[in-house]
Amino acid sequence: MRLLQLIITLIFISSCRDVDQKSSSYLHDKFLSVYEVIELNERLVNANELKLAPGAWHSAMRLKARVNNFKTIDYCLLVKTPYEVEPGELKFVQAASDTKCSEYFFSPAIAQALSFYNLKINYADYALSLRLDKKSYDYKFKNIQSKALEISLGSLEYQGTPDRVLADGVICKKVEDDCSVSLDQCNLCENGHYYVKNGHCSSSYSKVCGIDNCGAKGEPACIRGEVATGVKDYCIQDSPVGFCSGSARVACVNKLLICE
Amino acid sequence: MFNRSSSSISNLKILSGIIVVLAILSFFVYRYFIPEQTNQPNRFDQALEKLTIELEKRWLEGDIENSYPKIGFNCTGLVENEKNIHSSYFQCNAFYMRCFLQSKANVKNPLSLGEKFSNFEFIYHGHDFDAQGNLGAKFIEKKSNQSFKIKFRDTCSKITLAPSVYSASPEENDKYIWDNFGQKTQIDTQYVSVGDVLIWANIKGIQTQTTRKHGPSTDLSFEQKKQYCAFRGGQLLQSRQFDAAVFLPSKAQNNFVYKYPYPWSKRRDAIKKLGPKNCSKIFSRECSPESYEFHSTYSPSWSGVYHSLGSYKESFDNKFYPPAKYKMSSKEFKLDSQWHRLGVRATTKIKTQIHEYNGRGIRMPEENIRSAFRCVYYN
Repeated sequence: MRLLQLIITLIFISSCRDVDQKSSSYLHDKFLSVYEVIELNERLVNANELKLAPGAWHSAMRLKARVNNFKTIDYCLLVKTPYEVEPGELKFVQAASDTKCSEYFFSPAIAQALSFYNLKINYADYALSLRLDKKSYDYKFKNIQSKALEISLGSLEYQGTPDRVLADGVICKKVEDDCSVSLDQCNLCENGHYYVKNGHCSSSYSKVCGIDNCGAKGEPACIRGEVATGVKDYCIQDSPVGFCSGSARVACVNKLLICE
Repeated sequence: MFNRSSSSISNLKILSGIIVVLAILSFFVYRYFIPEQTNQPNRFDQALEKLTIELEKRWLEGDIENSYPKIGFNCTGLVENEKNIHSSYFQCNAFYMRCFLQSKANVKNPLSLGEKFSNFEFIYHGHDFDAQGNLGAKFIEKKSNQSFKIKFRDTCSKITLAPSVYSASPEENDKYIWDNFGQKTQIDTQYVSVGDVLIWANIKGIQTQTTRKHGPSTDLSFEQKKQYCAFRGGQLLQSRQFDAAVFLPSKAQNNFVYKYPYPWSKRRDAIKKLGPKNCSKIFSRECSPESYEFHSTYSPSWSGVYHSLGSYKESFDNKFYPPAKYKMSSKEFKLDSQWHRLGVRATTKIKTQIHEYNGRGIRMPEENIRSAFRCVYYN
């Protein structure tokens, strides 16, 4: 009977788990308001196996979150791969938006760093999943999933810089001749944005901040379109790809169709 | 001396054996077959997630219970209890949402159902509008004193104009042919309302109409309409974009575009077949003004834009022919009016060649025109 009691007691004790609840909930609170996940390292995220240099730090991704009345804060997810018998390490660090995540390899973590021998990082369908050995950490990013709602944690008072900082007339989206996009920040325009024709890409147009006064003298030409006109080379005097109002004529200056 | 019977001892042994076996089994199952969930979201996170799901549903679907036509709301400063408002008005509507969050929309407010959110009680702490006019609702969780804000964006009331070749004006020629390939173009399905403009006007310190927030805004100048749309991140809708959205798509292979004058039929005499009381296709003068339902689906077009003809006069930014700004087709004119044709425009400028634009001479209005408007977005 006493032996029986001892066995049952031992079984219950050994099935208890170490749960670092304080660290987990802290991280979960931080990432409730993530609205963008960028700089994904394909060799770490959604990879079947890790083929990275052992014992070295790598950046897995950057997360941008909303805090204190929609100010932005950045976090980097960093991973140090295992080396021989030494376990790997995973940590989240706070980062400046204009600094590479690789600059933070030796910075302190915002919460307890996690050790592992086997790691799987998955990011899909607005959810991040971390599997470290037998432990799992899951985060859902509502701000990415929903187009209608956005959450910001923390202070209710406005503390950040103005959201919209691009003045009228500034190019906010730049499409190169090969249709690659070298700039895309029209959400920062103070007063809306509109399309202009300033390149040979026929499937996409650049954009300029401001109220659309195209067609007026001194302003960009309004776009008629290459499909409607059947024109291949748009950058010519009186280009039919653009049009102007009144007595103004379409000209091509520095690859931009304008009215003069 | 305490004596135990042999049967009770054997029963006890059997029971003990069962307990031991169950304990061993559960040990192995939990240890080796179920991974540790070491990142269980705490109850605040779960409660917040449930709250955002509820609020998103309310924002997108509006007055789900249809309370407004039955008993109205208790927030006359935000939503007036005038009967003729279509239910779509309450979708993605900042005034309705504020009414709801203050528990004045005659529905059970989930914020008051503390037990539904795992004993967390969220208190609505007020609101403001951001630089683009999006509603931001502030909340505090009572127990933990954690604060957060939820921003609501209008994703309800726009359609995307399909990439194609289009032709502006009522005339079937290639003078005003154009295309929108490579340009993502979204158009408001409804007029900009007085309430929408009031949000902008309060931020900019401009005087404007404050009553009948559900009605279309008709008292802004042309420049102010442009400024309002820019504030919302868009542009004043162009006349050619509106034509593209309302003329039935009829492009021939050589880019020639056929133009049918009415949005519901390819018959050129379709309005004669309409009958006087088909106000859903065109709300004209024959329709009773008292029956006009605001934010309704009158005169739908193939693209999803409403009020193609009839309802209110509307102004556009006409890039092809700038003086030709106005759609006069409205509830002020009878069905036999020449204004009730798609693409036809009016001007208040004298000495223009607008008859060339319209393909016919029509007597132009002399006075200033109070007109509704809507915006286009290139996101």
